[in-house]
Amino acid sequence: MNNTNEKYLKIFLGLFSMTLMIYIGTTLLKRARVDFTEENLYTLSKGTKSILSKLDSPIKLKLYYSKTAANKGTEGLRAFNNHFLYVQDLLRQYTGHSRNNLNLEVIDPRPDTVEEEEALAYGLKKFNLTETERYFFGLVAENESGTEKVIEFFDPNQKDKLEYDLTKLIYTVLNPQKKNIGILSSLEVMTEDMNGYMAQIMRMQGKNVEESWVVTKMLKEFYNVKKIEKSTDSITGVDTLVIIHPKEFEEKTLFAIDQFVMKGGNLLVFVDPHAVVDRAGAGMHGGVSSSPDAGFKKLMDKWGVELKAGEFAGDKHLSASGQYNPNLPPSRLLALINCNETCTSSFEDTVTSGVNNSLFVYPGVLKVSEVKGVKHTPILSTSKKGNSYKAQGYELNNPQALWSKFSEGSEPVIMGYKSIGKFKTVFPEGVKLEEKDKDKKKKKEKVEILKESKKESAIIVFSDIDFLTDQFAFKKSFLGPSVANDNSTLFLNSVEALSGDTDLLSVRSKGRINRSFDVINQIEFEAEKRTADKVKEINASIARFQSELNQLGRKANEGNIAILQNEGIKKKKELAKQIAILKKELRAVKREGREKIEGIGKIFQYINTLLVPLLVIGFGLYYSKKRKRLMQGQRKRADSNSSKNNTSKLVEAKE
Amino acid sequence: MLEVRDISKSFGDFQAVDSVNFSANKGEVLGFLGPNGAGKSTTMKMITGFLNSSSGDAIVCGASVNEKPLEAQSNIGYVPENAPLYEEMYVREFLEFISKMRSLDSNKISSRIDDIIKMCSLKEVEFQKIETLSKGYKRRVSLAQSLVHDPKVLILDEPTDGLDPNQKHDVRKLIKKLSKEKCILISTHILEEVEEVCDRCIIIGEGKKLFEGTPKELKDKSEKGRIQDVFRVITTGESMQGVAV
Amino acid sequence: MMAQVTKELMIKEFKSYFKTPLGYVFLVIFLFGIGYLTFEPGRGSFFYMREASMSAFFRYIPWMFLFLIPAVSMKLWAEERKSGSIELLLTMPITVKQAVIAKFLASWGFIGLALLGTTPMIFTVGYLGNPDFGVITLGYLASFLMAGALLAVGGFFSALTKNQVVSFILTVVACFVLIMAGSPPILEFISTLLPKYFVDLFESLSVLNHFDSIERGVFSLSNFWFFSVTIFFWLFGSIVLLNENKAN
Repeated sequence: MNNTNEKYLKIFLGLFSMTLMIYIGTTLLKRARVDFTEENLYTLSKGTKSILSKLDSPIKLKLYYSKTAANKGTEGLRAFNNHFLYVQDLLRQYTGHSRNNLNLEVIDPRPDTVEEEEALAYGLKKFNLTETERYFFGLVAENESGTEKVIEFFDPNQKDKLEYDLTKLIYTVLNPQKKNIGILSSLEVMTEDMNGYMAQIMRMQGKNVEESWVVTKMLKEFYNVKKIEKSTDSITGVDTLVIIHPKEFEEKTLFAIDQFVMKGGNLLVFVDPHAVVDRAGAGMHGGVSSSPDAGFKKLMDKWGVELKAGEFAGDKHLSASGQYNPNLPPSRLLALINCNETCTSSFEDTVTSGVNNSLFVYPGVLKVSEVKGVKHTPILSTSKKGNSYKAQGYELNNPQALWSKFSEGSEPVIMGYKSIGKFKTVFPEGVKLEEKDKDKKKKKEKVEILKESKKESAIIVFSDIDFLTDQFAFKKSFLGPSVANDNSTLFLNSVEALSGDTDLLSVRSKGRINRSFDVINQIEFEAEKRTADKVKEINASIARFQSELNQLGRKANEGNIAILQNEGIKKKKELAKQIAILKKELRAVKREGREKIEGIGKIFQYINTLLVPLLVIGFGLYYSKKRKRLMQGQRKRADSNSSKNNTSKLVEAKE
Repeated sequence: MLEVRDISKSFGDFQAVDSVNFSANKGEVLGFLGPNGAGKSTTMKMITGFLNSSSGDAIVCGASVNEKPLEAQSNIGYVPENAPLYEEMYVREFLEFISKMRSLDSNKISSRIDDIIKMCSLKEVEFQKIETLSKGYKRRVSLAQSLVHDPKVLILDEPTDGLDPNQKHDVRKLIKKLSKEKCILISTHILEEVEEVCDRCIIIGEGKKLFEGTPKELKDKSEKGRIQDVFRVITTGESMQGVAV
Repeated sequence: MMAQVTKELMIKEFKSYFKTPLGYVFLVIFLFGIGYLTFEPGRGSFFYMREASMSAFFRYIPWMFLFLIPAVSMKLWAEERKSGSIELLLTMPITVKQAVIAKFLASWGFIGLALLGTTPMIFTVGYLGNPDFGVITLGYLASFLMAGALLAVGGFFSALTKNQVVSFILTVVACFVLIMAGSPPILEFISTLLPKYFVDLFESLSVLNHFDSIERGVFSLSNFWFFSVTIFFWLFGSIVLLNENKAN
């Protein structure tokens, strides 16, 4: 009895010490880790570390996650569970680098508890799973003075931007004031505030009312937006300046922009080799629809960014369909680029990451040249097969002509650049001012001119303007304009990135390395192309028939109408037959593509389920045979040996 | 060569072996007799180092099983009860494995195994799987296994158990042959075997040593010369006419 | 480094998996099963997710191990004890410790081979897309380490009983508990019985948590520590256990 007791004690002690060793060891060694992921998913970027190092007072982080509820939920919540683990992991990295200034608390808010009430009070997004269970997945950051900022909900699809979002959250807790944005444009991007009622009255009076662009209205929701006039002496009280379609700016305005950059202000610039929206420029008065003009180009040259005049970025694979003329059927247009993730993902930049459905109209081509102390990073481009083409004047309105100028390229064409660094002034001598008070001011300014940036500033340049317009970024709904694509997101992202710290700007998106099945995508793409061709063929036949019918109609007179009707019917039948054949072919093409993909799937399934097992069985048979044969072979040899030796059958002494 | 000193083993309250003493020398075959459950196998397992003794020690060629088990074990060849083997192996393959485990020089393994196979008459089954062998052959394979490293001490636990008379004869003959330069401890409950092969014998019952002497001495205790009567009297403690213990 | 006897026993034990059809059966079932589960038509299916990563594959590894590991480990000691060949083995100049390690390594090698048999999967994702090979490597490392931990457990239960079937069942149960230790239903159950402190303790014992954590692509010493300590303790347990009951 004693013995068995002792045994149990031993087992218990063993298990206990094991548990203890594991628990202590794993807790102590948690920090010692290496991130093997290609995207460095679990490693903080320099910008984040720099912002964390600036923390000097404690910030409380409350991560709300309804773990219990999620476990009761459907299989679909699994993705969220994984994402929660990732968020938690990353937040632990944050606290690890915060010199104890960050304090992470993970809360599982259960129904009808104080925690749940708090979560609701913070404004976290709530999902009702069942009648009682509610699901929360958000973060609250709170500092000592009571400033609180919230991430309402963590979207697993935004995984690559998570670090940026978290860092931004902490940054905004540290710097809670609303930022000031200035807008400077040659277009009527922002008009005087006029309420809807007034506008309506004015419209009823037959006056043409220019309304603010919807993007600027959106901007106002998040920032203090200030309009900068085209003629400005100096730009102050603005954190970030947005410049749209820079042309016909006065010299002193250019100087003001230059000095704004020298003071460390951030710029967001939109230029365009052919701005469709600029109707005043394009056309009647023989003006130009392009920007920048010569004056602003000087500034851009100093920054090292150039927009190629008269050159456009094109991409066959990204071209969107549209119509020039309402009478023509919609077709693929080279001028429209519908950017998906291939345009942005490779740059892993927070400004463009997650922007995978945006539409650009006649986008230009950006080139950069080296400027000392400035780092240029591309953030938006065509796909690898994109190329640039030159076109001007009338050609621009002829889709066929544009296609004929285009050939597939091998390198992406850049449509957006981010430049960070210290820039040099374009006006080392100051500016000539109006005659009147020339002497008085000159003295003053000589003192004020900054020849070089005091601190780093950031400039983002995009080579399209039209994508910001209501026509391409929004669609009309009966509740007013609603977002049509990611165009406005791209705009807001850029402003947001620029109005933060440059540290925040340098927090890279983790990137979404394309892990899709390239081979399958290729097959799908080809199948789609062939389908499109077939559709085109069918449409062409219909159009041909229509015109033939029209011709017949024209020939018709009372005498031959019966014959012609007959002929018409015959033709119609013929066409129907033809279309039926083509449609059959179309179905075949579609099926072919699908079957090919399914076939590949099957092949890999067989390889992965049957190949190695068959090899194993084969090896097994071979090995057992070989063993047998080996033994038999030895037996034969041994037999011949033994007959030679003439050994006796039974016991023999070994000597 | 083999010296067993006051070896004892208890399992809980049950005293399986109680201070057994004996020794054996080169060229000697020591019979280990006793009824089933008397502690024969337990004693042998302790000598081979398979079981740890509760007290006492066994010295094999100068090495204590308690203190230097590996050295002691390398001098012992052991045929366990029922001669367990690795059934899925071929006879030769099995002997090769044992040779390697016994750290034989890899160049000499092949010739050594040839010798052993000859010695144990395993020629016909050398390339058969062990699981296909008859009981007699299996017993011989087990014997062969114990001889691979040419041990000085052989411990055979009921080597002839369950064999037919011819097979028994063969095994005994082999033991006789081997006995010249080895010290052999053989356990059995077959009394005629003792007379046939053993130079000396020990009888144990209920874990205690009850008798030690030559088979002749044992036989002489009975007037009729019936060894089984003597065995009966010694192990059960009954008295029997014409048997004086 | 390794004693000659340990090496020889290890080789013999490793080869013994291929001397009976059973070893092949296990391999085939495992390889077919993991392939089938990975490609299984359904929501989580590899081919339908169109993602060039092996997460769909590694997700099923713990569950395939739940069958494979006990099957591989059940015979380690139970068979020897049943046939009595353990007497043969342990009266040769080899210590129990060496024998335990040799057998453990042999079975670990066998699992390693089984994992090696899944290499077509790597070629598959490599052909179809652009996978993160660092993460895949860690996935295999995590699988192998987990196999080690579970085999050590299986070896212990094999030494506990003479009956292979009993050993198999006990190991399945033990592995299931270890794998599921960190899973919410079990934790919730425990939290109703014990204070929160114990829940954390229990969670840190979960094989699956540590497996997942490596498989996600971060190799942490704490995971490595967990697997090493687990292997060490269960092997140690086997040694103690064998010394206790090898003769029974």
